[in-house]
Amino acid sequence: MTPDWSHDDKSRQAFQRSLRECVIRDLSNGSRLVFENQVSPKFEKENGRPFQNRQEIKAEMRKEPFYQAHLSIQRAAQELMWASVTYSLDRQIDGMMAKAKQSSDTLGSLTINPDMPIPKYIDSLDIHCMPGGYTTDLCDGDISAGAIYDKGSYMYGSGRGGPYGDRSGQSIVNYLKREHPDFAPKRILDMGCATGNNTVPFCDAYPDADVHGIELGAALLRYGHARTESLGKAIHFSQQNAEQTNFEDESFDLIVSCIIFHETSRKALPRIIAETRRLLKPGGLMVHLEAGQFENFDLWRQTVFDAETYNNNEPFWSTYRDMDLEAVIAEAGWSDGTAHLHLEPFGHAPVTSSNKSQKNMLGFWFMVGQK
Amino acid sequence: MTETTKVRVPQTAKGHRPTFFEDPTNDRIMAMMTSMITEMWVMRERLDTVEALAAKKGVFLEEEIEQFEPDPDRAEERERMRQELLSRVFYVFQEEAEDIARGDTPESYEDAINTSADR
Repeated sequence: MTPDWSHDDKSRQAFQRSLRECVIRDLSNGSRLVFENQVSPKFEKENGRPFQNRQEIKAEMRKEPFYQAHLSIQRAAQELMWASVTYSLDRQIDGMMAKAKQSSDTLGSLTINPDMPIPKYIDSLDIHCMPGGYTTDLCDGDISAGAIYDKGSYMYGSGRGGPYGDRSGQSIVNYLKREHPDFAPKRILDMGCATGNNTVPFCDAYPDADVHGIELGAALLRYGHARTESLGKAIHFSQQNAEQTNFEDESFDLIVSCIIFHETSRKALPRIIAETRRLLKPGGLMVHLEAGQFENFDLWRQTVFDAETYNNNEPFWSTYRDMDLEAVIAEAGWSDGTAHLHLEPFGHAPVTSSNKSQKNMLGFWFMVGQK
Repeated sequence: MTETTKVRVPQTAKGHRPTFFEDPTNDRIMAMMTSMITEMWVMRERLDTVEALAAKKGVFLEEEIEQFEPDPDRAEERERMRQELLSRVFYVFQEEAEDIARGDTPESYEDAINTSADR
């Protein structure tokens, strides 16, 4: 089922990764200089005060030809990254689907629910400009969204997800092994598991546990199921909405998710956290992994991130990063002290939400709770 | 789906494509240029493979090109070559960024002319 990339496909894909590095290093850095050395001092001189929010910065920066060119090339680079995958997949998708269909349920399982309503927040735009988005289902047995996602998300993360694209899941495992060394969950759920790349580390970390993954996109699940079986791991995949699942109350010891919150909505997110609470057994743990709130970043970083909302089909990204998550946790029924936000910086010691004075720290934010 | 239907993998993303310049023609030129540099690299890398194989064997088969895997040194060299290509094509941004870092402006340029003209 693995795609067969030609010599030129591989060149094109390697080049898109290099191009992303170049855009980040040269163009983003240049735009920062335009902001810090020109636009910011000019604004202060004219207004007698510094910029107060990212909207003011955006309004001024959008007039700057350097920034215009930067965003224009960045958008093209994002589209060409996907194109380096989709053009070649189109040639071979029929053969790949035939092979995926032969995959047997010897270890895990796959349950597709064609009647599940697809929520608008996942379907109104093709998120990250991924052609077809997460939920396109071209035909019976379609795996194309999974094949596009698996290769594209590896490139999107510039390979930092690791060869198996499981860095987020692995970082939750590392956290659990460090903070809860005796925790031995028997039933684990990964919400919004996509192709299950970040679900697999839980199979390895807790070999005696039943591991479940739910996801909205049928073609992601079919691909993920075939991929997981080929890796020799057991995951039970089902097509379900994390806002309201068909699992029984108190049926999981551990519930996780990897970077799904910002792809939901203001209404769906509290429901997902409340559903997490409903599904957890007493004493069970939740660990939802996400990008940090805007308050943890300076105004320029906020402006850079915010551009993704408008230019990279990320409709909920900025709204999410402005939300008061502490309030959302409390409303979902987590009383004081049972849940908190926690930063795992890349390559540094952990930082808690009570000690986050330092801005712009890059890492994964965890929403952690014990029922 | 019947046996004869060819599944078409989506190639474009749903959602209005943003533009950034006052004249969207400039955005189209940027997109075409970014795609063109990609295709230029694809040719360059293929040639590099041909050269590597030619040096190694003198003669080679086309399927050997498809199967060619660069060793770690060559893979590293290729990344260096790609970054050099990108730097060359996007040199104008480097020029501008360094102007900004130095504080060079049209006025400072004018000043230099005037200063040098002062005897």
